[in-house]
Amino acid sequence: MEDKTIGVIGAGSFGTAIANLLAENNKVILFARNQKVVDAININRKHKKQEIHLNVSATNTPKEIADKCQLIFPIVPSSNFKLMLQTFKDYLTPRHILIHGTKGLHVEKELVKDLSLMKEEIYTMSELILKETGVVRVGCLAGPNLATEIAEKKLAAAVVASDYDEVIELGKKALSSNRFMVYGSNDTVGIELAGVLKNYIAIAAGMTSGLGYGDNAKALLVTRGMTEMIYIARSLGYSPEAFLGVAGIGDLMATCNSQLSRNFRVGYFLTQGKNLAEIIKEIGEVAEGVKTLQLIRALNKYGFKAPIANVLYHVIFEGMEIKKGVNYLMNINVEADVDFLSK
Amino acid sequence: MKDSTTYTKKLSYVIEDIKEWPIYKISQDKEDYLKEIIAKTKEETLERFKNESDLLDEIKKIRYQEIIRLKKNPWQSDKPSELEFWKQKKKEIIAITSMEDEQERKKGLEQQLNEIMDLYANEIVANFDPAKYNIARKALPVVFSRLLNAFPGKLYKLFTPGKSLHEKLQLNGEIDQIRKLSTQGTLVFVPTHFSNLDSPTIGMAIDGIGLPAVTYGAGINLFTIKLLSNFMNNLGSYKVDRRRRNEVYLKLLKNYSTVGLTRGVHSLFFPGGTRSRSGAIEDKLKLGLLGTAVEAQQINLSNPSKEKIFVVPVVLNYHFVMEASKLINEQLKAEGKENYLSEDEFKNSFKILKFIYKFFTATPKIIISFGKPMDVIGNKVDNSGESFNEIGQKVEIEDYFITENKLTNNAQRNNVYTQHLAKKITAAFKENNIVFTSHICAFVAFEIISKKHNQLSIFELVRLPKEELEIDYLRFEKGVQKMKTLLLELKENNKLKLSDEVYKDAKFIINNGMKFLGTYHPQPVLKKSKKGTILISDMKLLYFYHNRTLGYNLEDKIV
Repeated sequence: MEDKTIGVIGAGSFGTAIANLLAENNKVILFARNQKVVDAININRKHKKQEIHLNVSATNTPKEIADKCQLIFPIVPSSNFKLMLQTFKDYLTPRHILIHGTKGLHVEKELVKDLSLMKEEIYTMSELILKETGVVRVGCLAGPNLATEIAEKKLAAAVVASDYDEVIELGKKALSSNRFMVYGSNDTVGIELAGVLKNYIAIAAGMTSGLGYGDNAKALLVTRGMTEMIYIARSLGYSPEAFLGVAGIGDLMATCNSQLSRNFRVGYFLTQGKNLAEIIKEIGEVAEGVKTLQLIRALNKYGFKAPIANVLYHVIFEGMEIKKGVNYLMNINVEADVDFLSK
Repeated sequence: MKDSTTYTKKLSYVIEDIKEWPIYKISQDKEDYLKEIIAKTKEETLERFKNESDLLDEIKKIRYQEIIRLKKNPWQSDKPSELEFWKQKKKEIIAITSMEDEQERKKGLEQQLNEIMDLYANEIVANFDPAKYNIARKALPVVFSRLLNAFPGKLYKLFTPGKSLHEKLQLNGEIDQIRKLSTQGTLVFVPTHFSNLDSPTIGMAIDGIGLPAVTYGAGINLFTIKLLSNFMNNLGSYKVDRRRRNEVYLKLLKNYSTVGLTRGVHSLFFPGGTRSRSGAIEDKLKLGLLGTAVEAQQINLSNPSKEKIFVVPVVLNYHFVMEASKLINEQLKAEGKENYLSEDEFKNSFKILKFIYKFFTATPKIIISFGKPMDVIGNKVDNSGESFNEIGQKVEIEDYFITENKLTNNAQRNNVYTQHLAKKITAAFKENNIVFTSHICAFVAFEIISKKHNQLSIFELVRLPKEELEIDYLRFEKGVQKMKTLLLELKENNKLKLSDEVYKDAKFIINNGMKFLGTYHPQPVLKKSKKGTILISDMKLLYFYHNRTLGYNLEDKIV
């Protein structure tokens, strides 16, 4: 086994950007399913509009990456995550350490029709790794990390969360540089949830932009959005701390301000009179935020207050007029501004 | 247990020659063993208290607490010379602090630490005497079996042989596998804990399945009781003084266990810490001692033999717990507050004899169920000791302790592993719990009352007036029938085990269960009235025995 080569699974824009970032301190093997992508990386040295660092090589053989790397960063969309794990599980052992960078949740049920979802049936990506493979030391990477900005070597920070301090340390060592700060946390699921729940708030941010509302409105959305995210997490049994850090408020602000994110674009296009089907056609795939809304609706039985999510759901899936939704939100009974810090 | 092996006979010893038992070998090698423990503890203590002032403060604190303890909470077990030892320490510490040279002060403090550890280690250390063990293993079963066959009031039966001990003390579960693994690695038995008699009972059970004696920590107060001291001092149990709470002592105790395990001594921990106050099977474990199994495994991996540690969950199944009244009262009085065995509970030999006599004479049967052995990560192991993870892959235990291709010593990681192991153990407790007819009766009766008064808290329920404590027989029988159906389903899915009587009809279950439900207690917990209704005479005890079958989500399905 080669010493300290780091693996990345998934050559999307974020996966490629992380591979390049890791390559500044380490040798990196990047896994892509598609031979064309492997060639683009190995031969053309260019992929997803990013120059590929000399330390990065690509492969489409799961065994190679598992044999050569003990620290691996899986960065594939949540909808493909389980399949990816099944492809890799025969090669993974308890010796491997996995730090994923995927902001999504896994449920087996078809959420559109089935509202019987219980919280035990929801898996964060780290939980899915534990369930599907023999790996025990897992962690996640989260934070305001827009792929394009990382690729452009702009300053950023992230959190590596894991139950295991050694996983956090290895993650920090591999990723840190003078343009990328890495914090640590032991609240793995809290950090993962923060990264997931912010997605639908980003849709709403796209709407405020599309409707021409100003910065005051966006600030209101971000703060109330975060409160709502905390309510949801709390009712599922998680504490608010993670939401106040880089992976919570940090990620939320970046996503709500970036016009490039899929979630933001969904919101924006909705204000331009397009429906969900048309938008999906335009941006190529379902944004995570849309799935998050379906999930939140199925979890409504846990009795949390989530007016923004409810309104968005009605707008997207049940044809509610956007203005009417906004009007509703501006007229709900306001309670305390901050009520989530006291236990 | 219709479908698992139950032994009613004593099995042959896996290792015939007692002098080949690890517990004997370590006892012969005591000096070296203690040296290793002290060296390890010293290293950890100096790492923990890096600055001279921190170490000094800790030593001063220990000295102060020990003097206070000796004066305010003296026990018979306290050595008269100890007070002098700590008084002397005061002078020595003052002398050290006034030294000019830093190196000298450091040396002086380390010397103080050494002396304290010597005192503790020599108190803790167990002794194992094969001759005494031989007497005990021959005599105890005879005494116990006579007791088990005698009934209160029929003392003459004490002197006539009846059913063999092992007909009343039934051993059930993965016994063949455990015997096989005992020569391939080190076993750690982790039983549920309800009664003070759990340790001798399980000691007999382990002897009964033919394994070498195990070591376990027992309260130091037990060592001074005349009747017990001879056994306690010579059968491999080590002494734990629960009044000593300082870090050095606790580290030493842990290392005593860790080093013993690395030297292959099979051990017994009660991972719940103390006896279950509520009567429920433990669902939260104390991680301290359990963590020593994980640490010992990690240490073993750096030795050429890479010996494995196997954890064996054990459930002790009784119809009743002698101390139930006291335990449940403590539970209701102080939810969550720790209570240790008070000294007067077991103050003298007479009390103990009475206790043991009552226990065995009133007990219809005791079943000890040995769960599937696992490695320290909680993975299942096969007969040759190989580990298999939850998705059925064969895994190397070493891989869990390797980071960047090196075997690493990482206490924080070991703590996380210990938490996982604890979860696996509590799950195994539930799966190996054997439901008795008496447990069913207690559960159903309590649920009927608590559903009828569903707005009352447990504190109010136990104070219900007598006239509220009557249950219609048919309603009760229906509940028992319903519970039996649910239990059979759980059994089918390997979620628990059932005693043979549970397979009979509801009427039998009720008669059998009511007869044995807390037989020991002055009043039967449940009895039939003249008009045929079921009367509850002690709501607290009913609650205690009801709790035994918690954790299977049966609460809302019975009534």
